[in-house]
Amino acid sequence: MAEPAEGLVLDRLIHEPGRLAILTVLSSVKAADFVFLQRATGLTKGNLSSHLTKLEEAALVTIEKRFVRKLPNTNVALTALGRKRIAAHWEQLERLRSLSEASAQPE
Amino acid sequence: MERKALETAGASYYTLRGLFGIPLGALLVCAGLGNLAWGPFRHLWVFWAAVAVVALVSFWIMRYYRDSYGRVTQSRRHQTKVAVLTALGALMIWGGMTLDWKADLPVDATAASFAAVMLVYYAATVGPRRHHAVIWGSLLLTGLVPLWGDVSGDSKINGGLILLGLVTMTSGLFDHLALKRAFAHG
Repeated sequence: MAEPAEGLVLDRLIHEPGRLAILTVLSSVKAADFVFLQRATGLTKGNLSSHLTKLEEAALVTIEKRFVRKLPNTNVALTALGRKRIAAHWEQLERLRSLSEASAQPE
Repeated sequence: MERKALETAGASYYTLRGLFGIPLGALLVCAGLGNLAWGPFRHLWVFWAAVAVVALVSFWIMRYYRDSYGRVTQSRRHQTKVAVLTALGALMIWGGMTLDWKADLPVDATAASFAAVMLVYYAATVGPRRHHAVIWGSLLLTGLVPLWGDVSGDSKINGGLILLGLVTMTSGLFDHLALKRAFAHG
């Protein structure tokens, strides 16, 4: 079996599709609330909540629970670590794709 | 959603909240008809009543988007880009209106400059989309067709405002449909 390319290790916490989608949406904004993340990722409330808890435990996002017009609102933002990890993860995926395309080329 | 769609979700949401374009477009039409003293629009109070209705409807629309699609705080980079585009756009439209007022050109520079600004704004914020090219491109061509030679500067500016209003409403409707498609799942 061939050895994996040097440094090509995928971040298992981030690689899960739901968490990857959440972090990718957050990577281009300053913050977004729970409703927006649900609309943008298509996750159910339960799944989104569970993924956010895991991401908060790993210090990749910060979650602020607040009241807006007397209604509870959950605001989520990427931490500096989260921003670094999602950028590195997409870089790894791009490298993996390049390697896969190179190996598929006929000799 | 694909990577690109996820990365631009925040910016797309901000720009494609097209229902705002409907009251805004209606206000532009009211302003144009009022300036041309057309029918009941010649009374100033009609315009101020329209402003009040537009403010109320815009507030409802804002609540609808917040409740249905949530809240996003844009990145500082995006906020700066929008501010720069808005400032440059305002300058360009002011230039177009001044040209219509002072120079006797056979084009409608008000409509053409607004259309060009909107095309650049959409391309820079959410990327070029077919309905923007068709709707705003048509307005740009209408403004640049040299058929406006016998029209006074006043009529050109106000005719341009009415056209802008109609195009803003149409574009807003298509933007809202694009937003619904972009955020639809399953």
